[in-house]
Amino acid sequence: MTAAQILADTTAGPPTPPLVDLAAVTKHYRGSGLLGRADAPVQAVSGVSLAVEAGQTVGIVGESGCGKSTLGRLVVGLEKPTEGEVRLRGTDRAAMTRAQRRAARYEIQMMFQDPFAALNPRMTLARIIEEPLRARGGSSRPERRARVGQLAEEVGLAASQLDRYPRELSGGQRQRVGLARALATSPALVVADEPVSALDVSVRSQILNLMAQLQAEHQLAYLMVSHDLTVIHYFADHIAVMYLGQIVESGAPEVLFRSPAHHYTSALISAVPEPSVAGGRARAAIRGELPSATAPPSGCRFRTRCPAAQALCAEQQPPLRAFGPGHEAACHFPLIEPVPA
Amino acid sequence: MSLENMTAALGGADHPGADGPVPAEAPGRVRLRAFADNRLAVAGLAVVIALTLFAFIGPLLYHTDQVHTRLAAETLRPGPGHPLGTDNVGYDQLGRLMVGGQTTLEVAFGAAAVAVLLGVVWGATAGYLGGFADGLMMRVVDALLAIPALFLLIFLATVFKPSVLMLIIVVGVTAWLVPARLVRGEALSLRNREYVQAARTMGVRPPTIIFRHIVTNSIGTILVNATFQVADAILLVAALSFLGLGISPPATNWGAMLSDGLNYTYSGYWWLTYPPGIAIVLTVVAFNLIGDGLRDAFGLDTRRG
Amino acid sequence: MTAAIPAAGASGPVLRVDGLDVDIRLRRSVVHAVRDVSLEVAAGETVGIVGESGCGKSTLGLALAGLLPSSAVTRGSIRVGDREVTGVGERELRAIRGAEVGIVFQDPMTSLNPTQRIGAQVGEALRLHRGASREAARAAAADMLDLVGLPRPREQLDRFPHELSGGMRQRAVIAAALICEPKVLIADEPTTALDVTTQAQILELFDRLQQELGMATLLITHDMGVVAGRASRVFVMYAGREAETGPTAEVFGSAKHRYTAALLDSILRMETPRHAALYTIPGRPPDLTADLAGCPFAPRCPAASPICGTTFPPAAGADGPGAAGGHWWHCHHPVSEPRPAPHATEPSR
Repeated sequence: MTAAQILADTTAGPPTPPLVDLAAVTKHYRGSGLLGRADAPVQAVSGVSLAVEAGQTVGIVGESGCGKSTLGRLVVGLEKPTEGEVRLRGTDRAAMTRAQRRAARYEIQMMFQDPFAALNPRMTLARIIEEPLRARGGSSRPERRARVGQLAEEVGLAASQLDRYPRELSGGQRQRVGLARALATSPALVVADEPVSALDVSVRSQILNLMAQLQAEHQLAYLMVSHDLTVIHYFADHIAVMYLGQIVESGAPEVLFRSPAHHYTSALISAVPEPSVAGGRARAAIRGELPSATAPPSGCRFRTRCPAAQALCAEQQPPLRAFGPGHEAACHFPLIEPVPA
Repeated sequence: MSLENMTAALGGADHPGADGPVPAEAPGRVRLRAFADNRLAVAGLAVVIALTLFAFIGPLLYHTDQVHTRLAAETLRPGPGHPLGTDNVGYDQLGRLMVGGQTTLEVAFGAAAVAVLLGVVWGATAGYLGGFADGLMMRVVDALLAIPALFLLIFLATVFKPSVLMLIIVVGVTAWLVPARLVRGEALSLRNREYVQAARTMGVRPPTIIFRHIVTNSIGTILVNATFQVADAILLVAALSFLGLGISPPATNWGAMLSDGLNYTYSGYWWLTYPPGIAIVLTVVAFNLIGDGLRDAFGLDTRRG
Repeated sequence: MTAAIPAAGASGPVLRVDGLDVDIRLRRSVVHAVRDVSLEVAAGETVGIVGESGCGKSTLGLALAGLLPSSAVTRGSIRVGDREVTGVGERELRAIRGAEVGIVFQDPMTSLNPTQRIGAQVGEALRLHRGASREAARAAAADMLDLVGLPRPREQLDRFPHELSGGMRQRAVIAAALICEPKVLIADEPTTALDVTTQAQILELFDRLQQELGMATLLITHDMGVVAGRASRVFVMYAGREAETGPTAEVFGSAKHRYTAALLDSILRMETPRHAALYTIPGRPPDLTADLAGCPFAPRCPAASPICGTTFPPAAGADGPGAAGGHWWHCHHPVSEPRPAPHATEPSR
């Protein structure tokens, strides 16, 4: 049972708005044309709606070019949506005052993928972890030092290492620093962009265990973005599968992987190499290459690679339909029967 | 095969994901050793130190009067009492070389400092902001670059009263364009680094980000360019003095000494031209060698991330 | 160019490594990257080399490709076919590379020259080693691109690498490696830089090439899933040494070396129960610059005993080490009982 569910049981009254709520968010990047000559915009994210509740982990899975990283950045506020709203606890971020936005910023922090590029090589660990506290202000040096020490202990770093530089640490240790930094301002949500992809297999489990532990201790919510299906499947409470800027399917992990509705989800699942004795599951291979994000296919964007594509798929974009409680997919000819509306 | 692959292949902790052994040496020491191994660079450094001592400490040991002229002793050949002879108004040439050196070096270092400071701030800000602001700021740089530095210098020097401070400002203000370009390039690549993104997420304000994250990680480029700035400044000041736009006597600098001395070339008074000339060349070459050495030393390092 | 199948009954292994040691000389220390490695790849066989960062597998790959830096010192023997490759001059090495040994690296963007067209790069080895004319090389390149599954191969010949997607580039790299019909293909993390669906496509390609060309392949990777179902034998490395070798199914199903077992247990799979605490291997890999006596995994091993710290375990196994198709390991206290499920049964939250 997640923290959110426990809270829901014991709290009476109107439901609280989700921590983060994306409503039909679109992000297009203008093409790199010179003045007056606009190239086709890159449609990084198109019409995505997603919610993250307190204490919950939402996983976004997809391959390169699907827009998942852009989505993470939209949630954190590093990017502003071209259309749609990003709501924090019910309030649209664009409608907030500067002061409100600044305060809200410390509720959502980010943990980055590349442990080598995520830390300024010229700063000591203590300074790195302290930086968000300095930026927020309102604390004294000894207060910050104490907090840094506390955070270091929580993520399993020795206090003696705080005066070291990132280059002296291993990949796993650097990720711990990244995590400590993300937690410095006690955020409610941490966006974790490929948190373990750059780490060795045996180190991944250490970091994932740590993240789970911290989540339990601090009622943290995670928005985990990854191309690695096994990590998302293990960690997330709710998964959204993205392809070329859109969510094609979403639902609980068990449901999604036992009976996916969308062909892309099915292909992703079967593409994961498994070191089992049996030698892997039946492969639902997909053909072809990823279309360009500046000129996505008409209708269903996946149709150019889908084994079940038909004429309708080129004409009409499939709407998101329900396939069970919390399970949605956008497909004209899904693998399972949708729940009647 | 790329160097990153090789480094990764050799299994050091530089390889992403490694929880392996930690690199043996700090990059600072690697750079220091690389610089120290470069004989020419060390020689350059030695020359600069020697000349600085000569100019600033020399007069304490070798007293000459550099204020009052002694026309009776004008243009004496090198000999007892005047190792390098005297100039056209009777100043001892060796002493003059020292005093001139002080001005030359002061202006050179000062101008380089101004140029680097201005250039770094402008370039880092432009590169970090990107987009329209970057475009605008760099067009300003391009426009100024189109004006030949010497003309700009001459113009400014005729408008403002020449003094050491003035020269520093004037030269600095024309020289900042190159470091601006360089640092802007660095900033453009650094702004996409994840630690910069992280700082933005934390709400660190742009000036702080620019200083703490971008400038500190461009220090290699900046340092290398600074040494070349010093060399260039010396040449610019020499050129200005040559054209008679330098500081008024009794102050002097090597460029002025050279320019004055050239009036007497046909008289065979070699001690009026060669000493300042050689001093200028030595200093400029020395700084260039230091710059090259630094560039190699830092270049070695950027390979290893 | 029709795909040639090597003569049946080709004598001896296509690639044979005996007691290979690779030391990398640093300024003030020496990294013992590879220690006493011996292995064999028979014609038509796929052998997998697995291990994590710093285990020496990539150094091994570089050694086999003859691409070690000048600071590397090698001892031992590497034979390609019946030719000794260690200690051989650069000229001869170049002849071997590309002609007898094909190499595919991890990142297709850096393996291809961004300023040269695909056709020229794929055909380059043919021109260099077989003296083919430009037209002949071009035709052969087109055939090869078709074989590796590139759509419209003749059109791709004149494209530049950046015009192709990651998967297509990797196919082009594979085509370039195979164009001289080498005896053995060494693939170092060939799919790590690719998306999982593209990875599946490339692995499918490897399977197909294996069948059609009957070529020997050495697959070096950290991803055990890539090796499963594809390599007939697997060689597990740790800290530069061999930990365990054997038929893939056997090694993955009943691993004997404690490291292999621990690694398999810590891998996240779809079947891993969600919300359960994951199994981790405590500690870190050892410093390869130190002179290590004994088993390098001992400091992290739950079953270590004093002998593990002093003596490197000799090869042990049912059929005896070196036996073709045999399974052996270097462990004083190999896993004997079937391993329990590695994950805690209570949920962690």
